[in-house]
Amino acid sequence: MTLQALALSQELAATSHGLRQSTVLIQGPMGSLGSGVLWRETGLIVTNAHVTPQHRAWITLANGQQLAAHRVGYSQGLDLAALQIQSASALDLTGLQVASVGDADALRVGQLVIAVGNPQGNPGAVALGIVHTKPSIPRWVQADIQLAPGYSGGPLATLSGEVVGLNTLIAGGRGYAVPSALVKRFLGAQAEQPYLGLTLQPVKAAYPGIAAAWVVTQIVPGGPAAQAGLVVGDRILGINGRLFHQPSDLTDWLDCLIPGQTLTLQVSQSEQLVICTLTVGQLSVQEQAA
Amino acid sequence: MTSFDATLHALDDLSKSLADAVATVAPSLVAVKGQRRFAYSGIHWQPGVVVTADYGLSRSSQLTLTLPDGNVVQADVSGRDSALDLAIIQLERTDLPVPQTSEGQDLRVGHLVLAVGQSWDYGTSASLGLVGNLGGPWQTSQGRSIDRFIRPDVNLYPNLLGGPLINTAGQVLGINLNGPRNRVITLPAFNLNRIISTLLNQGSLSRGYLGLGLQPVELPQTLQQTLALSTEVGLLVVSVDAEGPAERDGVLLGDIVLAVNGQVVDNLRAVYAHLESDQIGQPVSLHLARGGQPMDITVTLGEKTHGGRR
Repeated sequence: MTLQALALSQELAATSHGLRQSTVLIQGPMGSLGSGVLWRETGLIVTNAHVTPQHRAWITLANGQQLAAHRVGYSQGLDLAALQIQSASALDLTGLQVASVGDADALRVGQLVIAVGNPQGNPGAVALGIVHTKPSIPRWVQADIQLAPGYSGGPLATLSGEVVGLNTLIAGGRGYAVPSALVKRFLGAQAEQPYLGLTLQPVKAAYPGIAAAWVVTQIVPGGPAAQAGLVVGDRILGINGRLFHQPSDLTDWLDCLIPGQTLTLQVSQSEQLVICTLTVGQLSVQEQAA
Repeated sequence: MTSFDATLHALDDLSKSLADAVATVAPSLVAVKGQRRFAYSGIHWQPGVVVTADYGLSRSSQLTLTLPDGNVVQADVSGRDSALDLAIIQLERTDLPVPQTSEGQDLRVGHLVLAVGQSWDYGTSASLGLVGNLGGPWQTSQGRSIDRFIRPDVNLYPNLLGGPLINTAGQVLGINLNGPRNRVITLPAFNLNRIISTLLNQGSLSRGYLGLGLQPVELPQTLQQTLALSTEVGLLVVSVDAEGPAERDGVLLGDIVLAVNGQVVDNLRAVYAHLESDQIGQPVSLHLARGGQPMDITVTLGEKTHGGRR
């Protein structure tokens, strides 16, 4: 082995080792197995909703500790769940590492990525691949990587060890991960729910070259959509320079909006094509018992 | 090791150069959609000409292309060859960048390569692998000669079919197509230039045509001895196309073809090697056994513009 190949190989082992310290094994009461990411020092773990169908789960940390945890957050739509280790005082972080979270937006197609998980219950398995594609709708990170059941809920990371997503699906041989920004939004819960202040309905787009459109049926006065200049009857044709290919493109966008994010909407307004700049707002937190 | 330290260079460099390689070729990649449910990839190969896999087009000749800049255009197939699984499309636009190509003289088994393409919905797509197999000139099952055998060991997701195989410098080594047994095969860039000019001129690749149906048969010992043959297998003429070149020059049903242009032939591919398009109109000498006696017939090679029998 040449020196470079040796260095490469050792770096890969070091990166894998680091990531394994923030990856946990999750076992459900019914025997389901999956992975999770140690997100905070308080013992907060994020994983997929489909890994934790029940409220309670057993966590095995990378240092071998087994602890009980219960679910504190759940979103079937995003396929995300948050677990809290029950007796935080019993949590021994020796040899563990809280995930360092990166930004999936900064990924480039072709860049190397690494996944850690527990396929078939084998702890701390690692897979290497590259970023397969960067969808214009930031709903998924797609990787050319060989995953297996049991990687679900585990980290997809760059080679500098930054977690950019949670491995969630295998489709067509590719790995799909929920981007880290969505995990953060999910953890932000109520206070950070995105809000646009409008109601939409899909319509057949009557223009050549346009596959799908959504018509505005209601606008909340003073809301983000109203401030962006949208009015009832407008047809939204695309977002961020890309026309919708199918109606579900918009719902995919709605799944992954982050408060404060700016979108440019391509809108057909009184038969004129206009561009509206919309800043995603936050749903005001309602004072009520959760 | 408690944290990721800053000395991790080799991996970061590798990762960065892979992403750079993809970014280099990305402005030439298009998505191609015909009647099939899924879209495939193509590459803007020379100004106004896109190359893609014939498989992805099915029977459509009207295609929808997503260009690298996101624009969607309609285009017609200008030429195709199902034997190679290759099709070309002419665009009105000629301003798209063309890729850098590599003839791949330095290519070795084990080199890192990327299969890249454009996906219908998601933009540039890539898959990482290595050169799995390299070989010399070979012929496809339907007799197309390829200068070099390149088989990448890479996950060729359906949307990457018809897109290029690139090296880590972002240079195009060839186009990834459906090879024998549906395994990915890379048509070398060097071949492609030649094929494209023929396809542009003629719309298809013409090939030499004899008008014979041939079947390999074992030759009886006695025949091998009387004719002093070095081969145990000959090609029995099982059909002769009416008005075809072979019939005109006197080949009969039941003749056994033993050699073409002085070279022993014991399988169809060996015959195809003498039927290249540059031989059209040239004499081809057939050495036959007829009624147990040796015989030579010269046939003027005809032309066939589309697939089908030779």
